[in-house]
Amino acid sequence: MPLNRDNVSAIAHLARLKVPEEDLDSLAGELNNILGWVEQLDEVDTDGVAPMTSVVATEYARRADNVDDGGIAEDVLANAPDRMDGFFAVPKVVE
Amino acid sequence: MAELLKGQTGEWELVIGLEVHAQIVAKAKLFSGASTEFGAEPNQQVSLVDAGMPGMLPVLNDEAVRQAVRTGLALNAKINLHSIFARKNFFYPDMPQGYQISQYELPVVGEGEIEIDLPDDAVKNVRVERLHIEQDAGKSIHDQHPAKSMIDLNRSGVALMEIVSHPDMRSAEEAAAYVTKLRAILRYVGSCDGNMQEGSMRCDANVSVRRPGDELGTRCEIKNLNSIRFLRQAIDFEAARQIDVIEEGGTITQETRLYDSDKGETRSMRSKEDAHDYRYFPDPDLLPLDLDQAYVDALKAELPELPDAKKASLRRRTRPVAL
Amino acid sequence: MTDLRNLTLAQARDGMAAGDFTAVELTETFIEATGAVRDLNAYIVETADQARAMAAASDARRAQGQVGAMDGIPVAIKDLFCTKGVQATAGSHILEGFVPPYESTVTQNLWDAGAVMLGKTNLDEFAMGSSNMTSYFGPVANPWKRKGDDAVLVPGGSSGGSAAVVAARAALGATGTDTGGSIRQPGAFTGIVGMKPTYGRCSRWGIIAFASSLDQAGPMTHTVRDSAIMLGAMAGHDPKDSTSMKLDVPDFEAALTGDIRGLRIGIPKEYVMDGMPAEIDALWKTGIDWMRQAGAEIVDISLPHTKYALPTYYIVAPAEASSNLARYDGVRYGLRVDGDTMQDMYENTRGAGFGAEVKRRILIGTYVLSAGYYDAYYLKAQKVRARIAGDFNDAWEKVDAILTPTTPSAAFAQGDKMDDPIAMYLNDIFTVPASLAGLPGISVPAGLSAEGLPLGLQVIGRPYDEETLFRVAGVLEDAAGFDAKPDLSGLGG
Repeated sequence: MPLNRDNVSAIAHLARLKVPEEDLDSLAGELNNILGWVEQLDEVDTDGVAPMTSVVATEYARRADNVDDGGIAEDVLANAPDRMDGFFAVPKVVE
Repeated sequence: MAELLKGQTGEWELVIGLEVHAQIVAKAKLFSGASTEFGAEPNQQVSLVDAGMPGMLPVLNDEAVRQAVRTGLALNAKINLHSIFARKNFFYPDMPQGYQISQYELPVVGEGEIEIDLPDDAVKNVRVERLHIEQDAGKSIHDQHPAKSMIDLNRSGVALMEIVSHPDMRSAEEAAAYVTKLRAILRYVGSCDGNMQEGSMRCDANVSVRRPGDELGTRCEIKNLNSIRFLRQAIDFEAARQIDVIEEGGTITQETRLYDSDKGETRSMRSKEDAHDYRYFPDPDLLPLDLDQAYVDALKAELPELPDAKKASLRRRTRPVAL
Repeated sequence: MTDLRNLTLAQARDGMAAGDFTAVELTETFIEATGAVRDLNAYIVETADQARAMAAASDARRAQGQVGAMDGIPVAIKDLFCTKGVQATAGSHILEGFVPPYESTVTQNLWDAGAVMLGKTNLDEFAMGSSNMTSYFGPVANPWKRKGDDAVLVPGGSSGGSAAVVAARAALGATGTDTGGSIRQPGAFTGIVGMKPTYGRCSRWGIIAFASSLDQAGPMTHTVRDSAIMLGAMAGHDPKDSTSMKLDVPDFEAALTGDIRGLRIGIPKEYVMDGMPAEIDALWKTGIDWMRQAGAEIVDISLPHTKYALPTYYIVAPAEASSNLARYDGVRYGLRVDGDTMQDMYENTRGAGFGAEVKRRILIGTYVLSAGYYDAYYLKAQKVRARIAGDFNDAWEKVDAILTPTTPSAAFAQGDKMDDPIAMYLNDIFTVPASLAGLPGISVPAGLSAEGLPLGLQVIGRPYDEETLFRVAGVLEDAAGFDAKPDLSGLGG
């Protein structure tokens, strides 16, 4: 079922992207084109095929339980658009 | 059989499932080398990975895996030799990556069981659905500034075990007994210090009510209960609230609620109003977690004697004397 | 002294070793060249002061007899790599002004080998594109033009700035990243060698992520030898990247024996595309002849799921990107556009900070992962991806390397294909399958189109067998004898 402007608006909200009202219809058209094009994958028989979840055939990397990082608050905060008393500051969140 | 609750229109059965978040005892975080110590200055125990800086990548702390497996063994649970880390995508200012690395379809620990102790030496088995490893979020502080929230990422990336029960509990007492027993097991194993005040153990309660024998009712999730007393109070309040709503002709909507311990009530969390669509998918930055049976067997062999085994062996040892 | 700008990386290395010129002299030449090609808009940030300091340090090391594999070689860095203390933007408004306090593993490896940084090159926003048209910092011009036509052409993308500075002889090499063809396609469009190693060969730590299961760094250079030298300096296991392969880095340059006698070269029949220009097909046939004449055995092979690679890629890559780009939220770094509530701040920041193509892909990626659609789109695509990788595994039973065209056309004009995303995506039709399978691939300039534009041939290799890949590419390069150069006389200072 093709996406309509309300679907696009809902997806944009999920992705926290502000999309101007007037762009919703054209975006719906573009997304529908792309989704229509990728639907050709339905032709491929994938019964019994395991999804490819990793490209590298090696064992998982582990780190030992050592404290060897942190203590760099200035580096962490240096690029902050708004900071206060060692915290990042954001518009008030209502819980 | 647990007691039923009396409403205006008849009897109600309370159904509770619990999700316990237990901080894993480890020096460093789940995917970085920053310290997990409690009480540091803001953003001092944060690596560039924990801050979600561009291009940063997670590397798994082996100790978190070891402790999760040991805990699973203590819960007599199935250890999954193949498990997967997945991304749970949602936006929150104290969650720097824009997703939480967790486990979804394939958790490291599967079905287990906890025997809980009830009054008069009664016991009951509560089934554990799963245990998985995940990252903690940072902390948002809302009361320091009139228009702003403050974000401290010291907790961001701390290793947690989420232990999910089946909805097997039927009263606040049973829920309290479950958490008490689980905490004792975690402390015996040494995988979590069980300190609820400092937040190293927190509890979410899924609460619903139904007429005895009916299908499960719609549940509400009460978030972040940080003491057993609050857990009991929150469940009792929530059960009464739901019964009132239904008996007055209303319906329960599935939602996330917060327990306000000052007012002794639960309320809807506005920040969680969005319909959740977490878009879980396997984290492409991490390889599947593949363990071998010998590793699990070795951990099993080293496990300390657990509370129930101890009690049982104590019973065995003391029985001849009692006779 | 010969014009140092016209040297290859290997020649510059050997020239410094012979004492013909110093790293400082070489670097000054390329700083000057950087200024001379500024009209290309290939750099987002130039780091001349840093380059001079690094060159001086290189000369000092040489005086002590401590010389790395790339000592004194001026290179450009795609602005997707974080380099400490220098703005990193990924070509996006949302990261404008972000100065990373850390150095990516690959660039650190290059500096450890003695290389000198000229600057950060322009790219498609978050590496999403095949034209360099989606950069917030404006498009990059291809130094090449069609015969008798002054239209400005694209250098390809997403590593368009890196390709342009190498092609314009304003750097001896440049780093690129390749997710679906972002090194190889611009390499082909600008007449240089673009190489994507096996997934896991180069660390991704400190490279701004686009699609984590596909992104790989690689070298962009004048010659195959240069490529081998530069990859050797970039590659290596990194304990900070869980997907980095625990393998030693071989001496890639030593693999360039010039001898491919007895090697089996696969020619996949599915890479013959409807509507493919005759000159691309002709070049491919010529390449096959060169391989045969060099003593290789030509083997017809089938990669039956090739046609599904692009649609698979355009599910998997946006899905990963939608999650990877969630961290650009205005809280900790980069752009913030205020709002009354946290939600407004998020939406305003991300709405203003991302460009149209990035938004399009975030929306697609969000949708294909969302409840109710995951199985039909994302899971299905990952299964088809397994089939595509399986096709290559079957092929490796029969052949040692695969030869294909790199792109279905030569460089196109700025502004072309912009209104049709799928037409733009088709640029990567020959490069995406190897990306999905994690395989190494290299584009070698092999001839000119009728309009006088460079065309490339691609060699695809077995996983972690970059040595064979370089060996075949070296023979291809010798046979092609590509020595055409873009006319740089029209560029202002």
